[in-house]
Amino acid sequence: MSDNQKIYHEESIFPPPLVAGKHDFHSVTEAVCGVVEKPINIKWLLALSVSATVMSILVASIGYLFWEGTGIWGLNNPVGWGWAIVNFVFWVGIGHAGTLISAVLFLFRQKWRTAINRFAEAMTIFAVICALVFPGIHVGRVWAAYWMLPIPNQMAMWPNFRSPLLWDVFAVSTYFTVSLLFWYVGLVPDLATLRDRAKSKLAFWGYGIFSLGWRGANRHWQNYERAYMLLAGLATPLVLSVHTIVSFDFAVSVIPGWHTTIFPPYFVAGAIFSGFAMVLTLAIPSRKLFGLEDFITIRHIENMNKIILVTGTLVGYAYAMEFFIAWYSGSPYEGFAFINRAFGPYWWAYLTMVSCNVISPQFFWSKKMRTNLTVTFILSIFVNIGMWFERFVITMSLHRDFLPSSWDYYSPTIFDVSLLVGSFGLFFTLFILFLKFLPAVAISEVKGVMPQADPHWEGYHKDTEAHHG
Amino acid sequence: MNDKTRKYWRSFDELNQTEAYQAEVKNEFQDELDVSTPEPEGTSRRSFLGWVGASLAASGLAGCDAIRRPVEKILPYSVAPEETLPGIPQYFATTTNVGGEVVGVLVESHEGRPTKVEGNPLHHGSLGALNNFHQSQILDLYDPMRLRKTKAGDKEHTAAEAKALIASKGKALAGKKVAFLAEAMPSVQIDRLRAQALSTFAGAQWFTYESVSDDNEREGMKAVFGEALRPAYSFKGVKAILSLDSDFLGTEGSAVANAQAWAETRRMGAEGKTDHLSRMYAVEARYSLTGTNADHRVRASHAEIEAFAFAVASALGVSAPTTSVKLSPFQAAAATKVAEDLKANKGAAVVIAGRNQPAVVHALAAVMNGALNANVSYYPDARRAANAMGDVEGAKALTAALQAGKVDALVIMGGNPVYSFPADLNLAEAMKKAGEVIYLTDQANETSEALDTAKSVVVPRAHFLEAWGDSVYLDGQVALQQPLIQPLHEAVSDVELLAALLGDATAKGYDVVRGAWKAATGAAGFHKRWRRWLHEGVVDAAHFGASSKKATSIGALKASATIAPSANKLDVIFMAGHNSFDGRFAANSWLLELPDPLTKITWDNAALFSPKTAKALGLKDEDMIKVTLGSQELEVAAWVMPGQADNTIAISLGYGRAFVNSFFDKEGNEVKKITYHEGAYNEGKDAEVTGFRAEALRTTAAPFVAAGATVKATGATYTIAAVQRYDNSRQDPGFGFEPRALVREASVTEYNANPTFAKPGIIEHGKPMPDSSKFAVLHPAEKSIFGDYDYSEGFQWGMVIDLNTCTGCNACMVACVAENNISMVGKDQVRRGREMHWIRMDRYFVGSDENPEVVHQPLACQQCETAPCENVCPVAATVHSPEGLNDMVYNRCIGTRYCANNCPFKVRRFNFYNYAKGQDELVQMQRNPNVTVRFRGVMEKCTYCVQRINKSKRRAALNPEVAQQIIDRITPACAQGCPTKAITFGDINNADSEVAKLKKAARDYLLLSELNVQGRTSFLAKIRNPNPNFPQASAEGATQAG
Repeated sequence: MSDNQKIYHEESIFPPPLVAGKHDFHSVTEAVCGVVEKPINIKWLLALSVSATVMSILVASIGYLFWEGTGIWGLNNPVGWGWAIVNFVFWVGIGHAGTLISAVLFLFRQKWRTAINRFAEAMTIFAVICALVFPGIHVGRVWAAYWMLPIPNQMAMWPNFRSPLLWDVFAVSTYFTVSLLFWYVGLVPDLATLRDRAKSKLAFWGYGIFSLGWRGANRHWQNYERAYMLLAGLATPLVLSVHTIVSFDFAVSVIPGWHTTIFPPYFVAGAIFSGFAMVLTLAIPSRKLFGLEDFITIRHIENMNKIILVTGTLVGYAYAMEFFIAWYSGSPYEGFAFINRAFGPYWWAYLTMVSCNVISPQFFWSKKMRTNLTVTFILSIFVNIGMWFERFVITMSLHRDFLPSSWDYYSPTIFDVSLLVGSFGLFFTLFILFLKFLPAVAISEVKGVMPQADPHWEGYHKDTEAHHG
Repeated sequence: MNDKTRKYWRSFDELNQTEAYQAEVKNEFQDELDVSTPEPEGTSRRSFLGWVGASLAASGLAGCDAIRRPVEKILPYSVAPEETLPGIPQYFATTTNVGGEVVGVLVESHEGRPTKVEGNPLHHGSLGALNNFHQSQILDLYDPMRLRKTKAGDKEHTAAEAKALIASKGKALAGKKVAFLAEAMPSVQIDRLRAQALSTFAGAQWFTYESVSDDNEREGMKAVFGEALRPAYSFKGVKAILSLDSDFLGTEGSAVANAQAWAETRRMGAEGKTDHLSRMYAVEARYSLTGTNADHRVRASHAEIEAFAFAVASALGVSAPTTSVKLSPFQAAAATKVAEDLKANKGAAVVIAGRNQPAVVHALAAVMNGALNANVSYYPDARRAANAMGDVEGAKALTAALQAGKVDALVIMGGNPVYSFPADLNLAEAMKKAGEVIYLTDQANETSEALDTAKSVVVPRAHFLEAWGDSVYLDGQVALQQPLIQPLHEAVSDVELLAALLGDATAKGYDVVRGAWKAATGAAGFHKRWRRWLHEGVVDAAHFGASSKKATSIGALKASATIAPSANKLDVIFMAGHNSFDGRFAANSWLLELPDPLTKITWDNAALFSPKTAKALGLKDEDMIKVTLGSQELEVAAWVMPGQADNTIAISLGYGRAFVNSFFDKEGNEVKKITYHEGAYNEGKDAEVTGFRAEALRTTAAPFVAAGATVKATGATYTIAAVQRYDNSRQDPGFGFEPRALVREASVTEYNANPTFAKPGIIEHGKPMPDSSKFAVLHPAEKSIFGDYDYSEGFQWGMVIDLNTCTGCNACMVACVAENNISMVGKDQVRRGREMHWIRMDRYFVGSDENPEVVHQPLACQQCETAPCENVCPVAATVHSPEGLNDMVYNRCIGTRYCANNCPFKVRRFNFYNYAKGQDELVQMQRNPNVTVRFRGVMEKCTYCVQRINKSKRRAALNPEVAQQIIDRITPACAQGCPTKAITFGDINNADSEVAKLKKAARDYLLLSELNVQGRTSFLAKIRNPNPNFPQASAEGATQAG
């Protein structure tokens, strides 16, 4: 038996504990709440000010956009959508991991999710907020963007229900609402913990209002568990639906390179892929910075790497299948669009996409790589880059469509770039605020998967005292 | 009488309370005009109130709408003018002149504002159509850079003061040496006043100068006929045409009339007849618009064209001079075959020589036409006095006289001589030696800048729409010029300036012109006659008739000393700009932004090289080079133009104009920048000088084609905004894929064997390719998701574009711009791919890089029945009308650009910035009030000129007895402006309509029909008429010796 096989064999019989180190219920509470309760330190302030500065680039860029018009971007006649839409799809994709971890893994009773679910859900919410910025600002007349919503008006004018953009409005807003609710419901018991430990009036009232009078009563727990289960059930189909519908923006059109039926599953796989990559990108530094290594363990990271390997390979399969179908369909337009993608003026983008998304995850076949934090961190960044480029490559199908006379090349301007950079500022600002003011790990859920939660745990008699700390 | 029983009634229906009447009463919102559109589903009052309640919740959002509502000012008439109905445009006939080419025009006027120039069908030079220049002149009227007041020394004068001043100067000049320098003005009045001036001022001289010169033709005709007659070609029944470097369909004389006549020899109609088709051979060095329409184009250097002409003449039995230039074997064989074809079609063949060809070629063409019994008439030249000097000769004589101090006063009437005179003359210096200068000009320019302010009077020149006058067409037809508007500024017309100089201090154009016509034609019945002339725009009697002289010999003309060009001694060909002409339109954004029909470059010109020469010289597009020609130098950007002769540089005249805006301000800084292009969006930035002044290389020795130029790359590059570049100039997409079947063409033989060759063959999997189609596409037929709408009722608008008669001249584009208030976006925006033209002209090269054929395809919104743009719009801003139009609702559009992305034809245009906003208020006066001016963030596209359709429908509803005629006459601006009537529009549900008949033609096809978009615009495939005996031009380069 090789070492790898041996480890695997042992793991399947005796899975390593989900919480490492010598923790009891009290120390878990202390560890997680401590992050929130400790006075604001300089490192955190520094991080916040950096990200807030980057966010202000977004604000300034949007301000100038509103003042001048979409002409400040690099858009042109064949290429009507540029980075704004690429960023939108990118951020929506990132927003997938949260719900997948929270809802789907919850329903499948994957207990390892508890340590990272809060974290991933927060990331989802913030990513969707970043995504939602773009459909609103990318339109030519932003002051009329609300016409996309079905608001009754004196013109008796409804939006066009045949338009995939309208489906987007519904899909993304539903996803955002459900994700937000799901996240909030899960937060309630932990908010109550923070309330109970609050030392200042402000914290007491703040956490108090949002903990909705939680007292930890049996009845509360019963309702909570039920609501959580229901929301998990509601959120699960959304994981599939959101990116399916986002992919319709492209798939429903007639443009070669967009007009393909493979998009829904391909987009969903890509979204999960990018979402997990982003979770890793965030988790690896945060667990270090806030001393949460015991909760977000190597096992968590390895599990996520496995999912990245699976979805990355799925995405690679989709890339190959696109090419095959483009040839097999016999449509000269499709055939050209794909050859042009790989060898045309945007070959560099295609190459970046394939190397980051298909080649780089293959390292995770090796357990050594899967469990190496540095490798994981670097590869997760590669995946993020690759997935951004995937959306770029797809959107750029516009640059050469049916009539060669209208072909053109799209290059971003400083304002396209500032939007992407600035959206990361927004994302990190929200995330840094979250880390400081809300429990980054689900305290009650983690306690639920600790050995101490098992009434028949052999260590129970030994240190009963420890529970009542 | 009991009031209660008294009954007031308006109609019998009301009196009798008929059913129809009661139904009408119930209908609160009657549409009195039948628009044959079903009532939209209304909201009942009850449900409306319900919505109002629900809307309260959303009222916070609705408040956002208050932002950016445009402020609108209205200016009511305090005293309403007679005979005008607000909203109903009036049309007046007048005439205009561009470089001596006159046309009669009809001008649309809205509440006193001229808005659009259209052709006068009664005028022989127009026949209802116009070229780009004539159409664009309307924009010059509103040019904010026009001079406002007369400037004499440091004083400013109104028009009345200016006339008095000129009259006093005229008195003082009696007996002095006065030199006149005028543009070519074919006009009865100018002729009369010129004669008067020459007799009043003893020793006066009159020079006519046009930069785009017909000197060669003049010399050639003099040699043949003894006088400078002008040839007028009739293409009726013509079967064989030889164009010797002539652009008779594009930039040369009478192009509008020529193109129309030529198109009749190429029009196949619904029946698809081919017996009458003409065949054109073009021999040329640069690629001209005419060359793109030739069936055989022989690429030849300038020297070889002459030798080719000699060879054809000899083969026709016409004695030609000998030349040392050798033709390549291909060229020699081609010349033989051309001569055979011409001879075989004696009486139906014509030879046309181009402007840049030496006099001997013009003379030879005339003699050949004589031998071929060609239908060519010769008329006296109305543009200048009989026996006047040629352009270059006159320019030399005038400069010499100025240098010698022999000019007491120089009167310059129009033009921009300092810019356009041959560079070796240095007119700017010579002009300073004149006693004084009176300069009539529309703008401050290089010439006004060069004047010595202390002894010059610069008079603003009236636009043709502000002035009285008349014009004489090539064939002697006289047209009257009447103003449509009072001069916007203190402008003086040509006629008024001369009249004032001759002593009439209060000269009024109306009195001068009308008085002269009255005197000439007699007072009896004059008023009635005059009114009819003004109404029709043309005068009954021709000014002169055709000459009876016959062309028999070329006289003493010899072969011009020509040497074949080589890599270090290149030929430089100076071409009249397709968009700039001679530079007079250098501030006209409509023309500047119009892509050149061949190079597709906007806003600039460039030195064009053949691919082979560019490679040999190590040049690529946008490289800056220095061209040295004797002592003249020019730094210019290079551009590769397939099909051009090797070792030849072709460059358009009329660019690199420097505008001196500081003329107005007091700072006196010499600003060599165009600070404003009329009507173009410039983001508040100064635009740089556009293009390069080819005139700097032109000398009196070689004003047409100069030999012996050397080229050196400077290492710098220049940005050129071209709408099609090398990588998208072909129909084959690359990577080994089949060329796309966009412009479908066949030879006559192929067509007769298989008339339906252009129909699409969509192959399904596993089935063999249908034999009937040349253009089979392996693409599964798409189906409509939403089902098909029934278009069998009511009007259904459709369009057919005949690729056989379309010459690619761009007149449709300018017509569309003028009609639809299309924004010009400026060079920077064009470079970013944001041009706004609703109809564009796609140009594709076919065949080798060295000598390709060129095809043109006008492309506007196809008005697809299953339009991909419609279902993707989230706010339903683009929707289908029951009449088959793809309507764009600007008010509703929020600008997601999804529709443009999903348009397979990429004809939708987006307002990335507020392009229309920055325009000067003067320029705004040109706008068509019936078309919305689009705001920032809104998508726009071709509407089939829906405003014209609706106007005609209203008129038809009000005049039921002629309704059908009114409907049949609906013409979108593009179809109206097309000189060759290549665009046909109408109701396809009416089987008798022209468009319905053409749609049944065998060669009718839809673009991208495999996408099932079901466009309403279809194309008639291009049929070429090649000579089966013509030698095959083997691979590239073989067409040319060396």
